[in-house]
Amino acid sequence: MTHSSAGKAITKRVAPNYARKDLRLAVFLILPAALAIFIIMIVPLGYALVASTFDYSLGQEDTAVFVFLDNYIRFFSDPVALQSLFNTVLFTVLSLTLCIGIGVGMSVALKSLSPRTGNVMRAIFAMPLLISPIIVSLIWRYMYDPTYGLIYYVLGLFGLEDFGGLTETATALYSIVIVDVWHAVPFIILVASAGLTMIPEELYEAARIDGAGALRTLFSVTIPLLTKTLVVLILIRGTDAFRVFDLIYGLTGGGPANSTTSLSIYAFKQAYENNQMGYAMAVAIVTLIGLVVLFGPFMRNSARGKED
Amino acid sequence: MRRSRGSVAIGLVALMALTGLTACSTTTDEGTESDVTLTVSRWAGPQAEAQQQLLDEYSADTGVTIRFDAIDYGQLKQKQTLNMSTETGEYDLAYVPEAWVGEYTDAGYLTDLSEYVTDESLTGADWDFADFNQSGIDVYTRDDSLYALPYFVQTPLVVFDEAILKEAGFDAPQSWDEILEVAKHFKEEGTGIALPFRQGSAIVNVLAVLLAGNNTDFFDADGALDLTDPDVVETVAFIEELSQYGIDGSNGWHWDEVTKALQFGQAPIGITTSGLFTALENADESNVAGQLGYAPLPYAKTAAGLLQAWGWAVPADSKNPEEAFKLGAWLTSKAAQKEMGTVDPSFISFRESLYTDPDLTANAPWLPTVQAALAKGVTVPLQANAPELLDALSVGLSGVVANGDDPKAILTGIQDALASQF
Repeated sequence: MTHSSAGKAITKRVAPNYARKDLRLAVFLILPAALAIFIIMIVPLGYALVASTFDYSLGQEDTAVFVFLDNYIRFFSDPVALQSLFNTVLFTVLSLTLCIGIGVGMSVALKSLSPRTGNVMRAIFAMPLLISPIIVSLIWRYMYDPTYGLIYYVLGLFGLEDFGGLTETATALYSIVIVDVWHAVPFIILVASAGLTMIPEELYEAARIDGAGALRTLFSVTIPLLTKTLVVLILIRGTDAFRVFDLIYGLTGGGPANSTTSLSIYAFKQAYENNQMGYAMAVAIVTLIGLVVLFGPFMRNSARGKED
Repeated sequence: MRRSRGSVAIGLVALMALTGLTACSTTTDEGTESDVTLTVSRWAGPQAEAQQQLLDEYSADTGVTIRFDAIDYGQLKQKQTLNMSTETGEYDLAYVPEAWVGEYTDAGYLTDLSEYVTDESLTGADWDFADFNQSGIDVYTRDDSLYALPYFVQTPLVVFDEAILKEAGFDAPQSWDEILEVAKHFKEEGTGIALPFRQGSAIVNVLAVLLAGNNTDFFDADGALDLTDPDVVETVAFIEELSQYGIDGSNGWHWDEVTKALQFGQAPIGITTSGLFTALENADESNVAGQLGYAPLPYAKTAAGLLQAWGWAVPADSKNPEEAFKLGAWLTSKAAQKEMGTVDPSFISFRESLYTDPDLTANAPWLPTVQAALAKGVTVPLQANAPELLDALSVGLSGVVANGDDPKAILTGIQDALASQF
């Protein structure tokens, strides 16, 4: 269709009939999935948001008192809550850094092996991934035991049996980070290994011809071309680490002296031990906001490919 | 023809009436009506499975149909509260711990059983209400009314290898000084005392018993929070000193780790809860079966025990309160409780006469010690806002044993933060 306006011809493109029909069909086909997502994700989120503005206990919703933002004010004035926020951020930063560093490094190292050896080693390294987090915590709880544990036996061989481990506030969180890295690195290895296969071999050949060493090749060729994969890994691993619950609950329960209490553990205790469900919902919403602030940019970045 | 049709009709009606009456009510040999169905609410687990057998016996004897709603402990309170608050009449008998009975009675969820316990037509002739441990009765009494029949109790005790202690020249430790001496000796030998001092409920339970043993409490005589009382500070200071002689790693142990250390002979002495004692005396599972001695938690002034109790309550909306009470009375009768103790040695009732029953003590040698400890049975704080206090105490005590934080400073901090709530 063409019409003119002030001497300029403006052509308005109208979608052809078949395109409109395709669009209707697409919407119709997406509708069940969208409805499922709405019911499973959006509705509970809305419920949590509303519930966080009330003060009530589980099973006593009929006596709930509207407190608006009091629960959020309480969170930011509660030293234990702020401690849990600090613990969560520290845990996430440490775990994520170590996971990505060790995981990518091991992937690159495995790539340099023969395919058969690399595949066998990759399968062995992937084993921790098969164990559920709560079982991992039980295993490591005994490994970290100063009386029975394997860790202290090995430390004793080097005269380090005085290591605080899970029983001292100065070392407990770092000890848990080690466990989390042990459990999560296999996932990084598998995904990064898949990402490495997308890098053309010719680029490595060209780098070799140009005289680039291993480290130079890693930082100038491998990592830049692995960026998209790294963004996805940071997004997945980072959000997992920020929401950590079962690992810490199984290992220390949040102690000693709240030194390992994460936001999830703090919310759980408020909900089911202190009977403060509204406050627990507020903590959960704060956790969500933290996730969006920290990892939202990565989500935007991971979807940027087509526009670029 | 007309006459014969009439006869047939009358005969049929009579037959239907007879059949209907029979279907509505069958009588047992004892002549008990059995058109009653009772629904019992409790948590699932091995104890529930053992109890199911008893309930089947009761059903067979009385003709009463029993529906057993045993669910995960984590969901129990929510489900009970939901049913009782909406008066569904779903439950006739509810298993209630001491921690919930205050909340339930304040909300009017439970039936006052005070008159029922004196009615022999409901309790049976040999029930003997006076045989119940008085602490157990007290914990389920509110404003002079009894709201549940005390059924099962757990309490922490000191467990020790008698031979090892004797060899080292020690008797069963009773006082603070005695247990410190024993613990210090074994710590210097390379082990120490196994303690449940991980941040959580166990260390607070131990504190509650030690406070009672020092003739003090979390609250003063007026019911106000008083953690800065010198006797309370002294008790926490004792915990700090005892923790120094804890077996390596104790600061991160709960009841199960302590029990394992005792069970496998790695700890010569420890503090653990009675619910786990069966594993210690099981010859197939324990390296020290038959070698152990039991003592109340060390005390400064008097022996005390913890009332982690469960009792049978009749919801106020039950459609069969008297039948429900009869079932509860039967479950708490000496015979039924003895049967439970025989099937599960870690099952400890509130029946005083059973603590020294030779049939039970043969497999549960800790029973006389439990009786001595529960002569002064106490609970952790049970007020509606007590969980916040208990959490603060568990964190504070964890700091005391893990970091060596000053007991008085920790208690003062908790007092200042929470005193206005109590």
